[in-house]
Amino acid sequence: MKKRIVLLLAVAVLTATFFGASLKVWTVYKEDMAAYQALTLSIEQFEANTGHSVDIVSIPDQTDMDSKMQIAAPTGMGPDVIATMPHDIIGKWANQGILLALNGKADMEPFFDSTIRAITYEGKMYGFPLSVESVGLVYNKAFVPTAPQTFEEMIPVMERMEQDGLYGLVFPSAEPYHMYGILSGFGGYIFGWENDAYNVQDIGMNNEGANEAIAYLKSFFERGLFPDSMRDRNTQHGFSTGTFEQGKAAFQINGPWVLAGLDAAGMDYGVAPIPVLPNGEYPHPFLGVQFIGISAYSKNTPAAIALAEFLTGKEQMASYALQTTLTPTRQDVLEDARIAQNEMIGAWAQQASLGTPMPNIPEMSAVWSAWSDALQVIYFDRGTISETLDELAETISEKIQIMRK
Amino acid sequence: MKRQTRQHWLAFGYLTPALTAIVLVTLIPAVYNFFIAFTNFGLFHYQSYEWVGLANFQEILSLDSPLLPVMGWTLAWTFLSSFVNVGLGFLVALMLTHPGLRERNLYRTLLIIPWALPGVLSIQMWHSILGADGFFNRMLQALGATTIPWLTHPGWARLSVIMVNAWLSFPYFMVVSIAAIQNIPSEVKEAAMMDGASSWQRFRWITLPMTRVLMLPLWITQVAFQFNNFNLIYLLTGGGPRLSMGDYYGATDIMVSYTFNLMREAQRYGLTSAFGVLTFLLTVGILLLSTSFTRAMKEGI
Repeated sequence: MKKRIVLLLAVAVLTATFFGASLKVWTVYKEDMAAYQALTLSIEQFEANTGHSVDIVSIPDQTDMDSKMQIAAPTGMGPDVIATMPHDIIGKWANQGILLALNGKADMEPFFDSTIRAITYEGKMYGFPLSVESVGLVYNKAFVPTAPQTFEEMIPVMERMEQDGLYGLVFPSAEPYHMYGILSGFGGYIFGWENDAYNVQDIGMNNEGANEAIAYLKSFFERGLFPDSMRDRNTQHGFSTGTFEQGKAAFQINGPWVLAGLDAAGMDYGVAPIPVLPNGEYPHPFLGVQFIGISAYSKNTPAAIALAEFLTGKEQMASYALQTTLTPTRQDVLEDARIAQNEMIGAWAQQASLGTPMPNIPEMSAVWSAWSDALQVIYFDRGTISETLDELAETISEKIQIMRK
Repeated sequence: MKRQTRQHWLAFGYLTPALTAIVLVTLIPAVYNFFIAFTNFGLFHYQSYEWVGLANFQEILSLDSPLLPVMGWTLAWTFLSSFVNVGLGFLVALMLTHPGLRERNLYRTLLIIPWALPGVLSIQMWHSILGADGFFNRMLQALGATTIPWLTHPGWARLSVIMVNAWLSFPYFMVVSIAAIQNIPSEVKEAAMMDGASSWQRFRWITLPMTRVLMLPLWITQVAFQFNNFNLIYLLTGGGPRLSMGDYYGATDIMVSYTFNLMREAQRYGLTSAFGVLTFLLTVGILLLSTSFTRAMKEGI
């Protein structure tokens, strides 16, 4: 009996040595973060199940990760698996040929369509979505017991707060990322999406919806419901998170990263989708997807894909979501009883179901600074809305031409 | 003869580690940079790029390129800030060497502090002091004055970068100037006093000519250094504020920081390298010009 066990063990060890691959994983999460620890737990399970050995290395800075990938991957010294990175790097890495296209190599059926779009670049899929985040409505229950369903409902609260010398809704309204939800709710968009790719010729930053959206935002300044600190891109962030944390504001549009500060302040808050706009539409804020990518230079592609599939499988994604309270990217995980009971995950998931993935194409670098400039021009009355937005669209397309030359 | 050759080889042997490092980290990247300046290497031509000849240089030198505005400010910045830095250092040195001054060592120690702090940290400290709701603006508010857009208005931002740079750089010139001033033989000054020369006359005809030899070479190295002072511009204003929507450059961008922005946003490495080559040629040009200028000055004494 004993001999048999020894023999079995020996066989197991031998199989692991001869057939088990050794994989390198790079993660953007820091060792002390819940996400890192959850990933490590899942990876240990994967090692025990398959006999592969996995090395996990933390590179806790996106820019650093980007440059290390560009340098290390082509020489074969990079990772086999990147778990995880924000999806907006995908266009760049795909152009540089360092990400493996997964079409026909993996089953993408279980993931939400919006997260599939986030990892698709020019018709090809480049990663497994693990979690998703966006901005949403955070409200202080001391002022409002339940979340408003529409902006109309919010306005009386904003007026009341303003009369009390407090603030109604605070958010970085001059920040493209934070105001995109409202822009898109009115029908504005950045680039059109056709045949699984962005069409950079089709810019929706100056269409009718975009004009209405900005006029709507501006009307709050004119009515005195948004303070001047929200006009200025240099003061908006500190003002918004600061006043809300100090309990001086009822609503805030921001992401899950502000919640730690609220917990520390001991605030009783709730999270809900950003309310319906006057046109009856929900805002569609940007979705940021954390994806697991496979290096195009990996020598263990099957094992690397197996690891990515394991980590984004129903079982592991559910325990990952529970440990990190990050929003999962599969319907069957959301339906899991333990997840369904989690109020926070539920609220962010509801907001995520209304979001639009942030474009992952490199051309986005031509968009951000011009967009931010345009908002300053409009908020400080240095130009009319429609002329400024037309100029914005033109600037973006000129900058793209320079990029693509 | 034989022994000499062997010594030569030995010398090269000793030099090998240093030479290897220079070739690997200076020469090869420089040559590579020069090479890709003539290609269309960039994010959209990444895995296969081709030789495009002078196209990148043509694009930079074309009329609508930002070369002229960026160059204009780069030159203004270079000469203004090196003049202010050296001038301020010299002025403070004059005050510190004034015979009537008490507690000289205390002042000198205090004034050296900006030099002793690591620049990267003190620039970021200034960034927060000059911020929209930074220390300076809070002081102004407390005094009931209007706030000043130190880093966000083109004119103020340009003033701010020169001011902060002066704060960071003057102690070095102060120290050197003190040495230079103290080197003037006291007999000369005493003789001038005896002859009844006014303090301005003593400054103009004794202090200035007798320190110039030491100060001019310093000024030249300042010019070359400020021309490429990426750290200060990038950390203080990031080159901003932009003058018009979505520009690749801002009011305080100098050539190197502009090149960096262009690289990060447009991701055309060929074009960016061409800018690098131009900046290199300009730096060499300025150095040659100012060396010949000082040589003329030295002979003029």
